[in-house]
Amino acid sequence: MRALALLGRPALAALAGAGRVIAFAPPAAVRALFSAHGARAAVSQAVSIVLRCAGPVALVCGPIGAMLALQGLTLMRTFGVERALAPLCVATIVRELAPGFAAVVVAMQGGAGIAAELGAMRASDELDALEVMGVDPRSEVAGPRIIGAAVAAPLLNGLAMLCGVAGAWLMAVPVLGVPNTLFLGTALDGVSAADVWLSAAKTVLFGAGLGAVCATAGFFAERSAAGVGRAANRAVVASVILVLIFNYLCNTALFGLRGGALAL
Amino acid sequence: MNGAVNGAGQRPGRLVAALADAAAAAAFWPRAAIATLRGPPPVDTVLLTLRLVVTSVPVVFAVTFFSGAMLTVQAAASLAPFGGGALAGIAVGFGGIREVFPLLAAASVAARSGAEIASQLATMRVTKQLEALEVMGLDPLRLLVGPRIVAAVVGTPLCVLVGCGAGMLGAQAIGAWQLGLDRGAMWTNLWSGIVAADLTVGAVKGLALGFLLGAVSAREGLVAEPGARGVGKATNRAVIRALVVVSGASLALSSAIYGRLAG
Repeated sequence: MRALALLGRPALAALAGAGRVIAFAPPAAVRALFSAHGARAAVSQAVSIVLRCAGPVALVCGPIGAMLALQGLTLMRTFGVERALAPLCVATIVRELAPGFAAVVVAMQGGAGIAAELGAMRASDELDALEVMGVDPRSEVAGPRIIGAAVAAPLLNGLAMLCGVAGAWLMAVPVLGVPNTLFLGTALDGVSAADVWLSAAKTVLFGAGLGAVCATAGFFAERSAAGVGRAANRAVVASVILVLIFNYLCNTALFGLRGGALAL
Repeated sequence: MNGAVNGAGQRPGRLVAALADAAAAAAFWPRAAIATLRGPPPVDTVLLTLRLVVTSVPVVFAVTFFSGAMLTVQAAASLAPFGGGALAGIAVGFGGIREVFPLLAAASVAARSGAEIASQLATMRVTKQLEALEVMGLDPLRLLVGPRIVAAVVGTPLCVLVGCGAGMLGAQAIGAWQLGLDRGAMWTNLWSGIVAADLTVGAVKGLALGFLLGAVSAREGLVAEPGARGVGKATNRAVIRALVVVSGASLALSSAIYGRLAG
């Protein structure tokens, strides 16, 4: 029985957390769109998230593209299909790695920042002060951040694609000696415009989801310094897991349950 | 504070400040290593290591399981013209064990336990507990940072191995149940590109990444600004910097180890 309770307690806590996010975030985001300053605040949040995440996105996605080229070439030279390297790298980056890792970076930099900011506002009673003044902190403070994350994520996804491909090129052409004309000539063979749009659409979903999770965690943080740290920590963990589960579900939805080719 | 006062006209100043901060952060790594070698308190070290493993393993499992699943769905679709299922298994196993699962496992440890290290140390900083230790003549680096670094160095390789296993299970589960591939063949394909040395490399990478993520997170906690806001900021910085350092170091180690084989 005790073992069962040990398993059940975190499961119940996770369900309660999910319920809280679903009850809190969508109304906050929707009300922000129609509130006096919400929409403008959302734009400035999006700009600030893009600016804060651009450096980390480049620093994370460049190496990942390079790693992909390195290991991809190892595998392909054993099969003698070096010319498949560029299309495979570009397709994998555009479809999977860029949206996945851009979202993880946005969760860790932007999302944790949202949770930390809202948590600190909760701990210093700023959110209560807003409420006393008749300003709804849900639509004026939390909502704009959720929308901002949803807007910023696809933009950073674009940057992640560029940096990932640049990293792959740097590893393949100057370092491993793949002919430049071969790499550039075949680079776009594996992707279509639809891939780019679908990738962007996925990141809008990831951004909205992680923004919702992080804003909720910060909004309901405990009122202490330690509580703010815990809220930011929880927010990051939950949003990284959420991004990966969303990514799997999106892929299954796009490629069909049986994994046929993309029907576009 | 400075950023708000200086505004956009001071961009170069901020860049210099950022570089100086990065250098100061890197300068903390040897100090952390020395503090760790000076003998951390044993009971705390064991308890913190257990705590890191117990709290990080579920996160690592969830993250790598679903990334294995997602890679399989993706690979089966993109490799369909070349013969699909078998190739997808080989590619996911190869790329997953060598790069993706270890990196995601280390990133998950950074998110779960690195952030916790930063937020605990930052809380101690803003509530003046670190100063209190120093006043009593005790070294916070040896007492608090040392055990946490040991925990990260011991726990991360373990998490990397768990991540490799979970990723393969995710790929296998999706391959067998969702894509309807032959169960035995899928499992064989997944492991066909891998040798035992790849897992050893993963664990060794885990050691290095564990030290780095522990040191990065501890440093951000120690230099936290005052107040609840400072704790939140420190946690945020710790996570993102650990991720950047871990992915850079992962590439550097991979190219050092596998680079010669590819060329």
